[in-house]
Amino acid sequence: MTALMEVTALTRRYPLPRPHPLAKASTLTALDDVSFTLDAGSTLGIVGESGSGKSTLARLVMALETPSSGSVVFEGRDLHQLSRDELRAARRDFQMVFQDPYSSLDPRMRVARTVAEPLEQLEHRPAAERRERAAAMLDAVGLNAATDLDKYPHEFSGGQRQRIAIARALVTQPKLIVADEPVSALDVSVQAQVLNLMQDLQERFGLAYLFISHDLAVVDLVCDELIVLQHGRIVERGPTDTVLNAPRHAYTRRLIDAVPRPLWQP
Amino acid sequence: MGAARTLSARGIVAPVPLLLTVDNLTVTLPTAQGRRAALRGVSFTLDRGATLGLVGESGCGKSLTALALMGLLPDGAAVTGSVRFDGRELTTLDDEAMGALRGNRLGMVFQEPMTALNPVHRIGDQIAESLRLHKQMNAAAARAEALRLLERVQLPRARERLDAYPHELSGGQRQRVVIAIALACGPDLLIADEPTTALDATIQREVLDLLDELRRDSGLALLLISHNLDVIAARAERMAVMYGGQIIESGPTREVFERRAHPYTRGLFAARPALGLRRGTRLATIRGRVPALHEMPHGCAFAERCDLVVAACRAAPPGEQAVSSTHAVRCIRWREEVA
Repeated sequence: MTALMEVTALTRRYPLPRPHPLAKASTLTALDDVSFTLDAGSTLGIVGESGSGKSTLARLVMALETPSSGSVVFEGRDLHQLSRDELRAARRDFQMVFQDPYSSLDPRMRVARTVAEPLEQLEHRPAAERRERAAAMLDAVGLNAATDLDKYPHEFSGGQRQRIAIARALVTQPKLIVADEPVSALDVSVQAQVLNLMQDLQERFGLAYLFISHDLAVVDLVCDELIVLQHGRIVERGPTDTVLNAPRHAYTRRLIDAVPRPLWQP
Repeated sequence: MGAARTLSARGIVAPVPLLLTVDNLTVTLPTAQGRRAALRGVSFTLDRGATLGLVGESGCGKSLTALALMGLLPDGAAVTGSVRFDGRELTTLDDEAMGALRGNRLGMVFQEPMTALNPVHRIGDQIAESLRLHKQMNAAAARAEALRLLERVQLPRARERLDAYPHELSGGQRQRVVIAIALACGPDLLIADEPTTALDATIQREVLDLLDELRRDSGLALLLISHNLDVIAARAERMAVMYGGQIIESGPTREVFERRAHPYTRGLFAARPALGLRRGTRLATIRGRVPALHEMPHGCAFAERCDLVVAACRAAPPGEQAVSSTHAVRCIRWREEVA
């Protein structure tokens, strides 16, 4: 396998408000010296609790925010050194899926437009062709292109909306999808459908996932490797089975112990 | 059912009514297609010191059940059936009488602590408010009691936190404050609707430990609503599974987990990812979707999605069948296994 993305010594600090005007300015280090490699077609899980830096990492990897130091090299190019035009062109290869399918879709936009929108930025193709691509993506995520293209988001359930968000992420044929808690807001039966879909799409299109989740059972199912973040630092990493079955760091053990166990011995 | 037998102080066996008996509770709501039943004959009981887990997916009626018990249903909702709480019928109480119970003997904890707290009031005042209203405490006594409650829910640095605003606390700390408010007047029943869903796993555990402790120490009855089967298995001795506005299976949690009599219960369990599944395993899914209120069929609400369906399932709503003396299911095909 070849490295699709190499993250090196990635750090992000945020200035904190001064308690009074003469106070010394202090900073919060949201992400601290994080390095990892993500192979093409593989899934890397990021686990940790609120405030651990998971979402900051996602925004830096997606080049939605600039790091204080460190680099994100995607297919040989440092994303944070690219010009605006180069970055816009590069975005076709990495897309993002968010947690809440209710707030991540524009309620006033029909599905055809929502799904095809990432293409508008990239290629000046006729509208009919964009619509065709949107239809193909809806089919790929198990929705019905014939009936669903002209509907609005409110006409769909939560699980169907997350499928639309995934179709939108897929439309540029990316190599990487950054998924930030993609199934956390979904009911169990719908969550199963979306997890199966993400795995099917990975096999079909050779996608790599950076999969952010607080749910250990979910990352156990879909991730090849895991990174455990605490206070912005990597405290443990390794193959998923190793990390979950033989955790070495106390924080990882605490996360595993917090998974509810039945009142009876099964 | 309806009464548990216990020994009185004089050694004479006397029936003691259960704390909560919900019998054939039905709630109809106005919709664009006319009035439709959102709860359709919900019955369960809950005794002091016990926990009943209520599970099901969005739209099955879990939260509506909680709101009906609290007398907080939306305008236009109509209720039939009975909710008996400590011997009193709640469905016929007027707003004033219900208001005197709510926050006093009936407490409720919601999923999102930030929406339950008032952002512009100090947390000490928010706890003291119900003490002053329901217990007629003066300001100093209410403040002292608020401090005791914050210590009770193990909020760190409770004394300083009395004067803090909600935004100055973390999510887990806010949920502790919400629990302190719900517990302020020493309620007999606490309804917790997804109390830990918005919290991190380690904090979820602490909050659930706290609820368990309160149940043991003060005989609080807990109705624990969650979509998370693992939380129910870890915290509730008895559980009920809801679908389409009905309880479709109920019994001791262990029996329900091991027997899984209803095809929907089986589907829910199979869809749940569990630690230790081989990477790349595809999860079992339940085909189709929950019927909307106006599409609710005459027969079994799950029929369209069920692998065991026969004509009789669609002909009439399935009645309750006994799996054991303590375990009931609404399915005429529960003895069948899927081929």
